Amino acid sequence: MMDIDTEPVAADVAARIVTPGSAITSDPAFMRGHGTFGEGATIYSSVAGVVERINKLVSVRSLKQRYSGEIGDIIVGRITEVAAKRWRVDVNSRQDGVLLLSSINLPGGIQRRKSESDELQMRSFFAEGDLVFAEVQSYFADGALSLHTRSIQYGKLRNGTFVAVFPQLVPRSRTHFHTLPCGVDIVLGVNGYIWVSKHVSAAKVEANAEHIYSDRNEPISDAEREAIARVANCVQLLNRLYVKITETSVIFAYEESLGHAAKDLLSQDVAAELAHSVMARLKQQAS
Amino acid sequence: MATNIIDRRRINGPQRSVEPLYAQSGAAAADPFARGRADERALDQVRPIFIKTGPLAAQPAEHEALSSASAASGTAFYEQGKIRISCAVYGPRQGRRSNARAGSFDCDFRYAPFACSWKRRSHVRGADEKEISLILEHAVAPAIRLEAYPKACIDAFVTVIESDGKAATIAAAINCISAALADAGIEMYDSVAACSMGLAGARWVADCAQPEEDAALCSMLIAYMPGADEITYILQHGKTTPEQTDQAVQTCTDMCARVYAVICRYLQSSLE
Repeated sequence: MMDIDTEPVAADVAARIVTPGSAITSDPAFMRGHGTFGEGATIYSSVAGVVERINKLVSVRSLKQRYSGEIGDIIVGRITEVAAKRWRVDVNSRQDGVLLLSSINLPGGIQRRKSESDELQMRSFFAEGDLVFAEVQSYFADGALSLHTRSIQYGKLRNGTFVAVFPQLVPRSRTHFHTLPCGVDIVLGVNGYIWVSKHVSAAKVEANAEHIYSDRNEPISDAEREAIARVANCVQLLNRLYVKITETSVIFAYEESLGHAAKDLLSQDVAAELAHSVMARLKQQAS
Repeated sequence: MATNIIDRRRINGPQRSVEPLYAQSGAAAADPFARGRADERALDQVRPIFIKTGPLAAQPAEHEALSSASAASGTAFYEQGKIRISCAVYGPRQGRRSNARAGSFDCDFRYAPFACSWKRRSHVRGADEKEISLILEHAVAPAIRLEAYPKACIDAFVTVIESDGKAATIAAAINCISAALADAGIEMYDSVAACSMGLAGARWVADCAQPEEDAALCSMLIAYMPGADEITYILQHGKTTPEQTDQAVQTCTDMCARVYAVICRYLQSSLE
Protein backbone atom coordinates (compact mmCIF):
# COMPACT_ATOMS: atom_id res chain seq x y z
CA MET A 1 0.00 0.00 0.00
CA MET A 2 1.25 3.48 -0.77
CA ASP A 3 2.03 5.69 2.15
CA ILE A 4 -0.36 8.56 2.55
CA ASP A 5 1.44 10.92 4.84
CA THR A 6 -0.86 13.48 6.24
CA GLU A 7 1.82 15.53 7.92
CA PRO A 8 4.98 15.23 5.84
CA VAL A 9 8.00 17.31 6.65
CA ALA A 10 8.77 19.87 3.94
CA ALA A 11 12.01 18.11 3.05
CA ASP A 12 10.42 14.82 2.03
CA VAL A 13 7.60 16.35 -0.01
CA ALA A 14 9.85 16.37 -3.05
CA ALA A 15 11.40 13.40 -4.86
CA ARG A 16 8.61 11.00 -3.98
CA ILE A 17 6.90 8.80 -6.53
CA VAL A 18 3.14 9.07 -6.42
CA THR A 19 0.15 7.60 -8.24
CA PRO A 20 -3.07 9.44 -9.16
CA GLY A 21 -5.13 10.29 -6.13
CA SER A 22 -2.41 10.00 -3.50
CA ALA A 23 -2.21 12.83 -1.00
CA ILE A 24 1.02 14.79 -1.23
CA THR A 25 0.65 17.22 1.63
CA SER A 26 -2.00 18.80 3.77
CA ASP A 27 0.17 21.73 4.76
CA PRO A 28 -1.73 24.86 3.65
CA ALA A 29 1.57 26.68 3.06
CA PHE A 30 2.09 24.88 -0.27
CA MET A 31 0.70 25.96 -3.63
CA ARG A 32 -0.73 23.60 -6.23
CA GLY A 33 1.28 23.20 -9.42
CA HIS A 34 0.90 21.07 -12.56
CA GLY A 35 -0.24 17.50 -12.09
CA THR A 36 -2.00 18.17 -8.81
CA PHE A 37 -5.44 19.09 -7.56
CA GLY A 38 -6.66 20.27 -4.22
CA GLU A 39 -9.56 19.32 -2.02
CA GLY A 40 -9.83 21.39 1.10
CA ALA A 41 -6.31 22.11 2.23
CA THR A 42 -4.90 18.81 0.99
CA ILE A 43 -2.99 18.58 -2.26
CA TYR A 44 -3.40 15.36 -4.23
CA SER A 45 -1.48 14.17 -7.25
CA SER A 46 -3.44 13.69 -10.46
CA VAL A 47 -0.78 11.87 -12.47
CA ALA A 48 1.71 9.09 -11.79
CA GLY A 49 5.12 10.62 -11.46
CA VAL A 50 7.73 12.30 -9.32
CA VAL A 51 6.86 15.08 -6.87
CA GLU A 52 8.85 18.24 -7.44
CA ARG A 53 8.96 21.22 -5.15
CA ILE A 54 10.16 24.71 -6.01
CA ASN A 55 9.94 26.85 -2.89
CA LYS A 56 6.24 26.69 -2.01
CA LEU A 57 5.05 25.29 -5.34
CA VAL A 58 4.39 21.55 -5.43
CA SER A 59 3.98 19.85 -8.80
CA VAL A 60 4.07 16.30 -10.12
CA ARG A 61 6.02 15.52 -13.26
CA SER A 62 4.98 12.42 -15.16
CA LEU A 63 7.24 10.46 -17.45
CA LYS A 64 5.07 11.06 -20.48
CA GLN A 65 3.20 14.25 -21.02
CA ARG A 66 1.74 16.09 -23.92
CA TYR A 67 3.26 19.37 -25.00
CA SER A 68 1.72 22.40 -23.35
CA GLY A 69 2.66 25.54 -25.22
CA GLU A 70 4.09 28.77 -23.98
CA ILE A 71 4.24 32.04 -25.87
CA GLY A 72 7.48 32.32 -27.80
CA ASP A 73 8.00 28.56 -28.20
CA ILE A 74 9.53 27.47 -31.48
CA ILE A 75 7.64 24.47 -32.75
CA VAL A 76 7.14 22.21 -35.74
CA GLY A 77 3.58 21.31 -36.66
CA ARG A 78 1.65 19.48 -39.29
CA ILE A 79 -1.30 21.06 -41.09
CA THR A 80 -4.41 18.95 -40.50
CA GLU A 81 -7.13 21.14 -41.94
CA VAL A 82 -7.62 24.24 -44.04
CA ALA A 83 -10.46 26.28 -42.51
CA ALA A 84 -11.84 29.80 -42.94
CA LYS A 85 -8.88 32.22 -42.83
CA ARG A 86 -6.88 29.75 -40.79
CA TRP A 87 -5.09 26.43 -40.80
CA ARG A 88 -5.41 23.88 -38.06
CA VAL A 89 -2.07 22.47 -37.05
CA ASP A 90 -1.29 19.30 -35.15
CA VAL A 91 1.25 20.45 -32.55
CA ASN A 92 1.34 17.32 -30.36
CA SER A 93 -0.73 19.16 -27.78
CA ARG A 94 -4.11 18.65 -26.14
CA GLN A 95 -5.83 20.42 -28.99
CA ASP A 96 -4.82 21.54 -32.44
CA GLY A 97 -3.00 24.84 -32.85
CA VAL A 98 -4.24 27.54 -35.20
CA LEU A 99 -2.24 29.39 -37.82
CA LEU A 100 -4.16 32.44 -38.97
CA LEU A 101 -3.90 33.58 -42.58
CA SER A 102 -3.00 37.00 -41.22
CA SER A 103 0.02 35.63 -39.36
CA ILE A 104 1.97 34.22 -42.32
CA ASN A 105 4.41 35.89 -44.67
CA LEU A 106 3.45 36.31 -48.30
CA PRO A 107 5.86 35.02 -50.95
CA GLY A 108 8.50 37.63 -51.66
CA GLY A 109 7.93 39.28 -48.29
CA ILE A 110 5.26 41.64 -49.62
CA GLN A 111 3.66 43.64 -46.84
CA ARG A 112 -0.09 44.07 -47.27
CA ARG A 113 -3.39 43.03 -45.76
CA LYS A 114 -4.55 39.57 -46.80
CA SER A 115 -7.32 39.85 -49.35
CA GLU A 116 -10.12 37.55 -50.39
CA SER A 117 -7.99 36.18 -53.21
CA ASP A 118 -5.39 35.10 -50.66
CA GLU A 119 -8.16 33.31 -48.80
CA LEU A 120 -9.08 31.41 -51.96
CA GLN A 121 -5.54 30.25 -52.58
CA MET A 122 -4.72 29.23 -49.03
CA ARG A 123 -3.81 25.72 -50.20
CA SER A 124 -1.04 27.17 -52.32
CA PHE A 125 0.62 28.34 -49.10
CA PHE A 126 -0.02 25.36 -46.84
CA ALA A 127 -2.01 22.25 -47.72
CA GLU A 128 -3.03 19.35 -45.48
CA GLY A 129 -0.02 17.27 -44.44
CA ASP A 130 2.54 20.05 -44.89
CA LEU A 131 5.01 20.58 -42.08
CA VAL A 132 5.37 24.09 -40.76
CA PHE A 133 8.05 25.69 -38.64
CA ALA A 134 6.40 28.33 -36.48
CA GLU A 135 6.43 30.27 -33.25
CA VAL A 136 3.69 30.43 -30.64
CA GLN A 137 2.23 33.93 -30.80
CA SER A 138 -0.57 33.82 -28.25
CA TYR A 139 -3.31 31.70 -26.75
CA PHE A 140 -6.96 31.68 -27.69
CA ALA A 141 -9.56 31.88 -24.95
CA ASP A 142 -9.98 28.09 -24.94
CA GLY A 143 -6.26 27.46 -24.56
CA ALA A 144 -5.55 26.64 -28.22
CA LEU A 145 -2.24 27.96 -29.50
CA SER A 146 -2.10 30.69 -32.11
CA LEU A 147 1.01 30.37 -34.27
CA HIS A 148 2.82 32.72 -36.59
CA THR A 149 5.41 32.29 -39.32
CA ARG A 150 6.27 35.95 -39.87
CA SER A 151 10.01 35.53 -40.22
CA ILE A 152 12.15 34.39 -43.13
CA GLN A 153 13.42 31.35 -41.19
CA TYR A 154 9.89 30.10 -40.33
CA GLY A 155 7.49 28.63 -42.86
CA LYS A 156 7.17 25.44 -44.84
CA LEU A 157 9.69 22.64 -44.23
CA ARG A 158 11.29 20.86 -47.18
CA ASN A 159 14.35 18.78 -48.12
CA GLY A 160 14.35 16.50 -45.13
CA THR A 161 12.77 14.03 -42.77
CA PHE A 162 10.53 14.20 -39.72
CA VAL A 163 11.14 12.62 -36.30
CA ALA A 164 8.75 12.71 -33.35
CA VAL A 165 10.17 12.47 -29.83
CA PHE A 166 8.95 12.95 -26.26
CA PRO A 167 8.29 16.72 -25.92
CA GLN A 168 9.88 16.90 -22.45
CA LEU A 169 13.22 15.83 -23.93
CA VAL A 170 13.56 19.04 -25.96
CA PRO A 171 14.48 21.88 -23.61
CA ARG A 172 13.64 25.49 -24.44
CA SER A 173 16.75 27.34 -25.52
CA ARG A 174 17.86 30.48 -27.29
CA THR A 175 17.91 28.90 -30.75
CA HIS A 176 16.08 25.91 -32.08
CA PHE A 177 17.39 26.01 -35.62
CA HIS A 178 20.88 24.57 -35.83
CA THR A 179 23.27 23.81 -38.64
CA LEU A 180 25.28 20.80 -37.56
CA PRO A 181 28.96 20.47 -38.52
CA CYS A 182 28.03 17.51 -40.74
CA GLY A 183 26.16 19.87 -43.07
CA VAL A 184 22.66 19.05 -41.91
CA ASP A 185 20.07 21.52 -40.65
CA ILE A 186 17.98 20.50 -37.68
CA VAL A 187 14.91 22.16 -36.20
CA LEU A 188 14.29 21.09 -32.62
CA GLY A 189 10.63 21.85 -32.04
CA VAL A 190 9.85 22.27 -28.34
CA ASN A 191 6.69 20.23 -28.94
CA GLY A 192 8.76 17.14 -29.68
CA TYR A 193 8.53 17.36 -33.45
CA ILE A 194 11.93 17.51 -35.07
CA TRP A 195 12.88 18.26 -38.66
CA VAL A 196 16.18 17.10 -40.10
CA SER A 197 17.02 18.51 -43.50
CA LYS A 198 19.67 19.33 -46.04
CA HIS A 199 21.62 22.50 -45.25
CA VAL A 200 20.44 25.51 -47.25
CA SER A 201 22.29 28.75 -46.59
CA ALA A 202 20.34 31.73 -45.29
CA ALA A 203 21.47 33.83 -48.24
CA LYS A 204 19.97 31.32 -50.65
CA VAL A 205 16.72 31.25 -48.71
CA GLU A 206 16.47 35.01 -48.91
CA ALA A 207 17.27 35.00 -52.60
CA ASN A 208 14.44 32.53 -53.16
CA ALA A 209 11.88 34.46 -51.13
CA GLU A 210 9.39 34.01 -53.98
CA HIS A 211 9.47 30.25 -53.52
CA ILE A 212 9.08 29.91 -49.76
CA TYR A 213 5.88 27.92 -50.26
CA SER A 214 7.28 25.62 -52.95
CA ASP A 215 6.57 21.92 -52.55
CA ARG A 216 9.57 20.85 -54.57
CA ASN A 217 12.72 19.54 -52.91
CA GLU A 218 16.09 20.78 -54.02
CA PRO A 219 18.40 18.15 -55.46
CA ILE A 220 19.85 16.11 -52.58
CA SER A 221 22.98 14.05 -53.15
CA ASP A 222 23.43 10.52 -51.79
CA ALA A 223 25.97 11.70 -49.22
CA GLU A 224 23.56 14.36 -47.96
CA ARG A 225 20.77 11.80 -47.82
CA GLU A 226 22.88 9.50 -45.70
CA ALA A 227 23.89 12.33 -43.35
CA ILE A 228 20.21 13.26 -42.90
CA ALA A 229 19.27 9.65 -42.22
CA ARG A 230 22.12 9.30 -39.73
CA VAL A 231 21.11 12.43 -37.81
CA ALA A 232 17.45 11.33 -37.83
CA ASN A 233 18.42 7.93 -36.44
CA CYS A 234 20.61 9.59 -33.80
CA VAL A 235 17.63 11.68 -32.65
CA GLN A 236 15.42 8.57 -32.62
CA LEU A 237 17.98 6.72 -30.52
CA LEU A 238 18.38 9.54 -28.00
CA ASN A 239 14.60 9.59 -27.68
CA ARG A 240 14.38 5.86 -27.12
CA LEU A 241 16.94 5.97 -24.32
CA TYR A 242 15.39 9.12 -22.83
CA VAL A 243 18.40 11.44 -23.28
CA LYS A 244 17.84 15.20 -23.57
CA ILE A 245 17.86 16.25 -27.22
CA THR A 246 19.95 19.36 -27.73
CA GLU A 247 22.38 20.48 -30.39
CA THR A 248 25.28 19.13 -28.29
CA SER A 249 23.76 15.71 -27.64
CA VAL A 250 22.85 15.27 -31.31
CA ILE A 251 26.38 16.22 -32.39
CA PHE A 252 27.86 13.79 -29.84
CA ALA A 253 25.55 11.02 -31.00
CA TYR A 254 26.48 11.73 -34.61
CA GLU A 255 30.20 11.61 -33.89
CA GLU A 256 29.89 8.42 -31.84
CA SER A 257 27.79 6.81 -34.57
CA LEU A 258 30.36 7.23 -37.32
CA GLY A 259 31.76 3.75 -36.66
CA HIS A 260 28.45 2.15 -37.64
CA ALA A 261 26.40 2.19 -40.82
CA ALA A 262 23.50 4.67 -40.62
CA LYS A 263 20.93 1.90 -41.02
CA ASP A 264 22.30 -0.11 -38.07
CA LEU A 265 22.01 2.70 -35.52
CA LEU A 266 18.61 1.66 -34.23
CA SER A 267 19.44 -1.98 -33.57
CA GLN A 268 19.21 -2.53 -29.86
CA ASP A 269 22.83 -3.14 -28.88
CA VAL A 270 24.29 -0.39 -31.08
CA ALA A 271 21.71 2.10 -29.78
CA ALA A 272 22.45 1.24 -26.14
CA GLU A 273 26.21 1.46 -26.69
CA LEU A 274 25.93 4.84 -28.43
CA ALA A 275 23.57 6.30 -25.85
CA HIS A 276 25.93 5.33 -23.05
CA SER A 277 28.93 6.96 -24.71
CA VAL A 278 26.83 10.08 -25.43
CA MET A 279 25.73 10.26 -21.81
CA ALA A 280 29.33 9.82 -20.64
CA ARG A 281 30.48 12.65 -22.88
CA LEU A 282 27.65 14.92 -21.74
CA LYS A 283 28.55 14.24 -18.12
CA GLN A 284 32.23 14.91 -18.84
CA GLN A 285 31.36 18.19 -20.52
CA ALA A 286 29.18 19.29 -17.62
CA SER A 287 31.89 18.66 -15.02
CA MET B 1 -63.58 -4.75 -27.11
CA ALA B 2 -60.22 -4.63 -28.74
CA THR B 3 -58.84 -7.32 -26.44
CA ASN B 4 -61.19 -9.88 -27.93
CA ILE B 5 -59.81 -9.47 -31.44
CA ILE B 6 -56.94 -11.91 -31.85
CA ASP B 7 -54.30 -11.15 -34.39
CA ARG B 8 -53.79 -14.55 -36.02
CA ARG B 9 -50.83 -13.53 -38.11
CA ARG B 10 -48.57 -13.01 -35.12
CA ILE B 11 -47.49 -15.34 -32.40
CA ASN B 12 -49.31 -13.97 -29.43
CA GLY B 13 -47.87 -13.93 -25.97
CA PRO B 14 -49.76 -15.37 -23.03
CA GLN B 15 -52.65 -13.35 -21.69
CA ARG B 16 -51.30 -13.28 -18.20
CA SER B 17 -47.74 -12.51 -17.11
CA VAL B 18 -46.07 -14.33 -14.26
CA GLU B 19 -43.03 -13.67 -12.17
CA PRO B 20 -40.00 -15.60 -13.39
CA LEU B 21 -39.03 -18.62 -11.37
CA TYR B 22 -35.80 -17.86 -9.60
CA ALA B 23 -33.57 -20.75 -8.70
CA GLN B 24 -33.92 -21.64 -5.06
CA SER B 25 -31.53 -19.56 -3.05
CA GLY B 26 -30.24 -20.11 0.45
CA ALA B 27 -29.83 -23.44 2.14
CA ALA B 28 -32.11 -25.26 -0.27
CA ALA B 29 -29.70 -24.81 -3.20
CA ALA B 30 -26.67 -27.04 -3.31
CA ASP B 31 -23.58 -25.08 -2.38
CA PRO B 32 -21.10 -25.51 -5.25
CA PHE B 33 -18.29 -24.22 -3.05
CA ALA B 34 -18.86 -26.58 -0.12
CA ARG B 35 -15.51 -28.18 -0.87
CA GLY B 36 -13.69 -24.98 -1.74
CA ARG B 37 -12.82 -23.66 -5.17
CA ALA B 38 -11.32 -25.50 -8.08
CA ASP B 39 -8.09 -23.49 -7.92
CA GLU B 40 -7.96 -23.63 -4.09
CA ARG B 41 -8.43 -19.92 -3.64
CA ALA B 42 -10.11 -18.46 -0.60
CA LEU B 43 -13.64 -17.24 -1.30
CA ASP B 44 -12.62 -13.60 -1.04
CA GLN B 45 -9.39 -13.95 -2.97
CA VAL B 46 -8.78 -12.37 -6.35
CA ARG B 47 -6.78 -14.31 -8.92
CA PRO B 48 -3.12 -13.30 -9.18
CA ILE B 49 -2.63 -10.07 -11.13
CA PHE B 50 0.08 -9.17 -13.60
CA ILE B 51 0.36 -5.65 -15.04
CA LYS B 52 2.75 -4.12 -17.50
CA THR B 53 2.51 -0.62 -18.92
CA GLY B 54 3.93 0.47 -22.22
CA PRO B 55 4.10 -2.94 -23.93
CA LEU B 56 2.72 -1.65 -27.22
CA ALA B 57 4.58 1.67 -27.39
CA ALA B 58 8.09 0.86 -26.27
CA GLN B 59 8.82 -1.87 -28.80
CA PRO B 60 12.20 -1.05 -30.30
CA ALA B 61 11.61 -0.61 -33.99
CA GLU B 62 14.31 -2.45 -35.87
CA HIS B 63 13.30 -1.37 -39.34
CA GLU B 64 10.32 0.95 -39.44
CA ALA B 65 10.43 4.55 -38.33
CA LEU B 66 8.25 4.26 -35.27
CA SER B 67 7.25 7.73 -34.26
CA SER B 68 5.97 8.31 -30.77
CA ALA B 69 3.28 10.53 -32.26
CA SER B 70 1.52 7.78 -34.16
CA ALA B 71 1.86 5.29 -31.32
CA ALA B 72 -0.55 5.32 -28.41
CA SER B 73 0.01 7.76 -25.56
CA GLY B 74 -0.30 5.03 -22.99
CA THR B 75 -0.72 1.28 -23.09
CA ALA B 76 -1.16 -1.51 -20.60
CA PHE B 77 -1.32 -5.28 -20.54
CA TYR B 78 -3.23 -6.90 -17.72
CA GLU B 79 -3.57 -10.49 -16.59
CA GLN B 80 -5.78 -11.83 -13.87
CA GLY B 81 -5.70 -15.61 -13.76
CA LYS B 82 -6.52 -16.65 -17.29
CA ILE B 83 -7.93 -13.27 -18.28
CA ARG B 84 -5.64 -11.36 -20.63
CA ILE B 85 -6.45 -7.83 -21.70
CA SER B 86 -4.56 -5.13 -23.54
CA CYS B 87 -5.52 -1.48 -23.63
CA ALA B 88 -4.24 1.47 -25.64
CA VAL B 89 -5.08 5.03 -24.66
CA TYR B 90 -4.83 7.84 -27.20
CA GLY B 91 -4.96 11.49 -26.29
CA PRO B 92 -5.77 13.98 -25.01
CA ARG B 93 -6.07 15.06 -28.63
CA GLN B 94 -8.35 17.31 -30.61
CA GLY B 95 -11.81 15.77 -30.65
CA ARG B 96 -14.26 15.54 -33.50
CA ARG B 97 -17.14 16.75 -31.37
CA SER B 98 -15.58 19.51 -29.41
CA ASN B 99 -17.01 20.47 -26.08
CA ALA B 100 -15.56 23.76 -24.90
CA ARG B 101 -16.16 22.96 -21.24
CA ALA B 102 -14.73 19.51 -20.76
CA GLY B 103 -13.03 16.75 -22.65
CA SER B 104 -14.71 13.50 -23.59
CA PHE B 105 -13.70 9.96 -22.79
CA ASP B 106 -14.57 7.23 -25.25
CA CYS B 107 -14.01 3.56 -24.91
CA ASP B 108 -13.99 0.79 -27.46
CA PHE B 109 -14.20 -2.69 -25.98
CA ARG B 110 -13.64 -5.74 -28.13
CA TYR B 111 -13.26 -9.44 -27.67
CA ALA B 112 -10.67 -11.07 -29.88
CA PRO B 113 -12.37 -13.73 -32.05
CA PHE B 114 -10.64 -16.41 -29.99
CA ALA B 115 -11.20 -14.76 -26.60
CA CYS B 116 -13.89 -17.13 -25.37
CA SER B 117 -13.08 -20.79 -25.19
CA TRP B 118 -16.72 -21.83 -25.53
CA LYS B 119 -17.59 -19.95 -28.71
CA ARG B 120 -15.90 -18.23 -31.60
CA ARG B 121 -16.75 -14.57 -31.70
CA SER B 122 -17.45 -12.71 -34.87
CA HIS B 123 -15.09 -9.87 -35.72
CA VAL B 124 -18.11 -7.60 -36.09
CA ARG B 125 -18.80 -5.69 -32.89
CA GLY B 126 -21.70 -7.32 -31.09
CA ALA B 127 -24.34 -5.68 -28.95
CA ASP B 128 -22.71 -6.89 -25.75
CA GLU B 129 -19.40 -5.32 -26.71
CA LYS B 130 -21.14 -1.98 -27.22
CA GLU B 131 -22.84 -2.32 -23.87
CA ILE B 132 -19.59 -3.15 -22.10
CA SER B 133 -17.92 -0.17 -23.83
CA LEU B 134 -20.54 2.06 -22.24
CA ILE B 135 -20.11 0.40 -18.84
CA LEU B 136 -16.37 1.03 -19.03
CA GLU B 137 -16.88 4.67 -20.04
CA HIS B 138 -19.23 5.25 -17.12
CA ALA B 139 -16.98 3.45 -14.67
CA VAL B 140 -13.73 5.19 -15.60
CA ALA B 141 -14.79 8.69 -16.72
CA PRO B 142 -15.55 10.01 -13.19
CA ALA B 143 -11.90 9.49 -12.27
CA ILE B 144 -10.52 11.55 -15.15
CA ARG B 145 -10.15 15.30 -14.73
CA LEU B 146 -12.04 15.99 -17.94
CA GLU B 147 -12.46 19.67 -17.12
CA ALA B 148 -8.68 19.96 -17.41
CA TYR B 149 -8.94 18.99 -21.09
CA PRO B 150 -11.43 21.28 -22.80
CA LYS B 151 -12.12 20.45 -26.47
CA ALA B 152 -9.99 17.33 -26.26
CA CYS B 153 -10.91 13.69 -26.40
CA ILE B 154 -9.33 10.67 -24.82
CA ASP B 155 -9.91 7.28 -26.43
CA ALA B 156 -9.31 3.90 -24.87
CA PHE B 157 -9.20 0.79 -27.02
CA VAL B 158 -9.55 -2.40 -25.03
CA THR B 159 -8.97 -5.83 -26.52
CA VAL B 160 -9.75 -8.98 -24.60
CA ILE B 161 -7.25 -11.60 -25.65
CA GLU B 162 -8.64 -14.23 -23.32
CA SER B 163 -11.73 -14.03 -21.19
CA ASP B 164 -12.70 -16.10 -18.16
CA GLY B 165 -15.94 -15.01 -16.52
CA LYS B 166 -17.86 -12.10 -17.99
CA ALA B 167 -18.10 -9.87 -14.89
CA ALA B 168 -14.47 -10.59 -14.01
CA THR B 169 -13.43 -9.63 -17.54
CA ILE B 170 -15.20 -6.28 -17.28
CA ALA B 171 -13.56 -5.65 -13.92
CA ALA B 172 -10.17 -6.55 -15.36
CA ALA B 173 -10.79 -4.20 -18.31
CA ILE B 174 -11.44 -1.31 -15.89
CA ASN B 175 -8.19 -2.03 -14.04
CA CYS B 176 -6.33 -2.26 -17.34
CA ILE B 177 -7.71 1.11 -18.52
CA SER B 178 -6.69 2.72 -15.21
CA ALA B 179 -3.12 1.53 -15.65
CA ALA B 180 -3.01 2.69 -19.28
CA LEU B 181 -4.40 6.13 -18.35
CA ALA B 182 -1.73 6.52 -15.68
CA ASP B 183 0.89 5.46 -18.24
CA ALA B 184 -0.40 8.10 -20.65
CA GLY B 185 0.08 10.77 -17.97
CA ILE B 186 -3.57 11.79 -18.07
CA GLU B 187 -4.73 13.79 -15.07
CA MET B 188 -7.01 11.82 -12.79
CA TYR B 189 -8.59 12.29 -9.38
CA ASP B 190 -7.81 8.71 -8.52
CA SER B 191 -7.24 5.37 -10.16
CA VAL B 192 -10.31 3.19 -10.51
CA ALA B 193 -10.04 -0.39 -9.34
CA ALA B 194 -12.78 -2.89 -10.02
CA CYS B 195 -13.73 -6.27 -8.70
CA SER B 196 -16.54 -8.72 -9.35
CA MET B 197 -18.27 -11.30 -7.21
CA GLY B 198 -20.81 -14.05 -7.68
CA LEU B 199 -23.44 -15.26 -5.23
CA ALA B 200 -23.29 -19.00 -4.85
CA GLY B 201 -25.71 -20.45 -2.36
CA ALA B 202 -25.70 -17.89 0.42
CA ARG B 203 -22.09 -16.89 0.02
CA TRP B 204 -20.36 -14.30 -2.08
CA VAL B 205 -17.44 -15.63 -4.07
CA ALA B 206 -14.86 -13.18 -5.38
CA ASP B 207 -13.60 -12.94 -8.94
CA CYS B 208 -15.50 -15.87 -10.47
CA ALA B 209 -13.96 -17.82 -13.33
CA GLN B 210 -16.35 -18.93 -16.07
CA PRO B 211 -17.43 -22.29 -14.51
CA GLU B 212 -17.91 -20.58 -11.15
CA GLU B 213 -19.91 -17.79 -12.76
CA ASP B 214 -22.12 -20.38 -14.47
CA ALA B 215 -22.82 -21.94 -11.07
CA ALA B 216 -23.52 -18.59 -9.39
CA LEU B 217 -27.05 -17.20 -9.18
CA CYS B 218 -26.17 -13.54 -9.16
CA SER B 219 -23.20 -11.41 -10.05
CA MET B 220 -22.06 -8.04 -8.82
CA LEU B 221 -19.39 -5.73 -10.21
CA ILE B 222 -18.13 -2.67 -8.39
CA ALA B 223 -15.73 -0.02 -9.67
CA TYR B 224 -14.30 1.97 -6.82
CA MET B 225 -11.84 4.82 -6.21
CA PRO B 226 -10.19 3.87 -2.90
CA GLY B 227 -8.29 7.15 -2.50
CA ALA B 228 -11.44 9.23 -2.83
CA ASP B 229 -13.63 6.53 -1.25
CA GLU B 230 -16.19 6.76 -4.04
CA ILE B 231 -17.95 4.04 -5.99
CA THR B 232 -18.12 4.89 -9.69
CA TYR B 233 -20.13 1.95 -10.97
CA ILE B 234 -22.25 -0.89 -9.69
CA LEU B 235 -23.51 -3.61 -12.01
CA GLN B 236 -25.71 -6.36 -10.69
CA HIS B 237 -27.32 -9.31 -12.42
CA GLY B 238 -29.80 -11.43 -10.51
CA LYS B 239 -31.73 -11.07 -7.32
CA THR B 240 -30.38 -10.46 -3.84
CA THR B 241 -31.75 -9.41 -0.48
CA PRO B 242 -30.76 -5.95 0.80
CA GLU B 243 -28.50 -7.60 3.41
CA GLN B 244 -26.71 -9.58 0.75
CA THR B 245 -26.23 -6.44 -1.37
CA ASP B 246 -24.87 -4.61 1.64
CA GLN B 247 -22.43 -7.40 2.35
CA ALA B 248 -21.40 -7.54 -1.31
CA VAL B 249 -20.66 -3.81 -1.47
CA GLN B 250 -18.55 -4.07 1.68
CA THR B 251 -16.47 -7.03 0.54
CA CYS B 252 -16.17 -5.77 -3.03
CA THR B 253 -14.82 -2.36 -1.99
CA ASP B 254 -12.32 -4.09 0.32
CA MET B 255 -11.11 -6.22 -2.55
CA CYS B 256 -10.99 -3.22 -4.87
CA ALA B 257 -8.70 -1.52 -2.36
CA ARG B 258 -6.41 -4.53 -2.51
CA VAL B 259 -6.40 -4.53 -6.33
CA TYR B 260 -5.75 -0.77 -6.22
CA ALA B 261 -2.74 -1.34 -4.00
CA VAL B 262 -1.35 -3.80 -6.54
CA ILE B 263 -1.85 -1.31 -9.41
CA CYS B 264 -0.30 1.56 -7.42
CA ARG B 265 2.65 -0.54 -6.37
CA TYR B 266 3.27 -1.51 -9.98
CA LEU B 267 2.99 2.10 -11.21
CA GLN B 268 5.42 3.30 -8.57
CA SER B 269 7.95 0.59 -9.34
CA SER B 270 7.62 1.23 -13.08
CA LEU B 271 8.63 4.86 -12.53
CA GLU B 272 11.75 4.08 -10.53
